[in-house]
Amino acid sequence: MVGWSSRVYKVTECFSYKQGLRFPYPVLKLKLFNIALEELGILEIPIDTGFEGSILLPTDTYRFFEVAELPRSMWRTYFTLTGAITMRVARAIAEVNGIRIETYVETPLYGGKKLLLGREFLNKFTVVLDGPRNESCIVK
Amino acid sequence: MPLVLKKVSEEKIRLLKSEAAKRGITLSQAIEEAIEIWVRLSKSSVTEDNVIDDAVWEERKKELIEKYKGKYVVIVYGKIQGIFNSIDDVSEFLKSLRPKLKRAIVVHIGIDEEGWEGEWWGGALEYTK
Repeated sequence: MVGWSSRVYKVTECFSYKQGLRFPYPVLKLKLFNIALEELGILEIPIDTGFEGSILLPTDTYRFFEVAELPRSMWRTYFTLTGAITMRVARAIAEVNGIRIETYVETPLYGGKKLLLGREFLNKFTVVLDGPRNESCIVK
Repeated sequence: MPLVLKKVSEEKIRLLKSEAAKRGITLSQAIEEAIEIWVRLSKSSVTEDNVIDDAVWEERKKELIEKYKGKYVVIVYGKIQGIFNSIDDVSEFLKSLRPKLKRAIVVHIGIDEEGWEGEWWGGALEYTK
């Protein structure tokens, strides 16, 4: 039998879901910097718990982070329904809720326009997906 | 560069064309991506010979991991520019460079992984509105 424990979380910041084709989807708002500490700006990034990586960026946006890229042997391969995809990887600094952390940003080797936040990044925070309220919240 | 191949299975080429069309890329791009994935999955150390900074990492990584595990290395212009204790030190160094750099290699030695493989459930790269 699985035990039950009560737990109380305190909300520190919430972000409204964005309207999808049919259903709204959760996002987190972050400020991104390259490793030379130049600021890219604030992005609202859709949460994708099916993506095992960190932050997937459109290729044009990724170029801002090439100032601290990982060598080719450290680029990543993801296995998807439609086959394997290679991603270039660079280091970045993300600021969430006033806290700065070092992270990775990625982009498909052959280009792409997806903007996603994956599990490698998401698992650094406690996030509540409050569907009925259409809000994703960072909690303590 | 132009490339002519003989005796390639028609079925394989059809599959490749079909996949390339589905993903909206050219046949050349599909072949390049297939080579890239094959090389990576084969754990080969082959790299493009024009990517000098990557080649420096490949040549020096064993020594760097032995001596500097946990520190950061910055490689630019085909040379190791410095070994740094923290990412803040790397930032200070990159900020100080003139003219500003567009691309450098920064590795957290012995921490960043090679041959990283992951999953993306249902992942697709088509643009969505």
